[in-house]
Amino acid sequence: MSDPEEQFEDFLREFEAVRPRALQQAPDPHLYYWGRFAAAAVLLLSCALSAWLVWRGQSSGSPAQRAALPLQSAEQSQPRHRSLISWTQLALRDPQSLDQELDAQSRIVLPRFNLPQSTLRVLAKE
Amino acid sequence: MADNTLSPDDVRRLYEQHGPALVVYACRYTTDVARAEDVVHGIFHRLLRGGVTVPDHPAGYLYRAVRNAALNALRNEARAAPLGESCFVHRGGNREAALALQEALSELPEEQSEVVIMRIWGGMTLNEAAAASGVTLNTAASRYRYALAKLREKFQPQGPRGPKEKKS
Repeated sequence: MSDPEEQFEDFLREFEAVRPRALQQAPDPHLYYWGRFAAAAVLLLSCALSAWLVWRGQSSGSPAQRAALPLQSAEQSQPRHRSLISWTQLALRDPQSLDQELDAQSRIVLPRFNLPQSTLRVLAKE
Repeated sequence: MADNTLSPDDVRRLYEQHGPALVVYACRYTTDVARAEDVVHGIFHRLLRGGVTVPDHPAGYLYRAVRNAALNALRNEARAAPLGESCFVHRGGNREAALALQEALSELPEEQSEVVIMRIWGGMTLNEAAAASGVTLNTAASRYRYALAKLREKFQPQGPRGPKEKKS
């Protein structure tokens, strides 16, 4: 190779290629697939557990208990919440119904004063 | 030509050896150093993940892979990024010359710029460059001479600050 070409090569070598940043560790593909598999397994297990809990809840107890359960639940789970105005209206219109209503409510949401074991019985006397 | 897979150490060694020249080569297509780096990293990460068979001359494979990936990246760009940062650093600090060299390289025919990059910045012999490009030694040598002649038309070493673009 002629001298001018060598000189020009040397000249070009005065320009250095930018060194790229260090090569990072590539994510392990096996780890990636295991991670997805584990996530799918956890999801499947949680679904199975939920289904089992629902089934267990439905199948527990005797038939009589199960038959009574919806009625009891309905009674307990649907307390008649009244507003202050409706309580007042009920008291004015029908005091007897008010007493019954309060008695029913006290079994669910209010402490009962008239039971022998009640700690509030003393207050009830007063 | 036999194919083989590379160990992580092989891949890292290839990266040390060819990484900078491959970034220069990718810059020819992307005109953006950061994107060129991303392209080169993508190729080497794929190699690190394994399962890729490369021919006996991995350098040739690497240049082909970088070219294809850079062209894909270019296609996916909305528009080419402006040429603002060179993938070269001039020892004398002449930034304009570094940018001009990159531009001149991108104006060369693809096969000529490839052999120049392999030889000057990849540190390969003409024999190795010919093998990597899949051409004969004579073809590689003539491409190289043509490329140098065209680059010399653009650049002339002048003084300690390096080259100046030749005025036409």
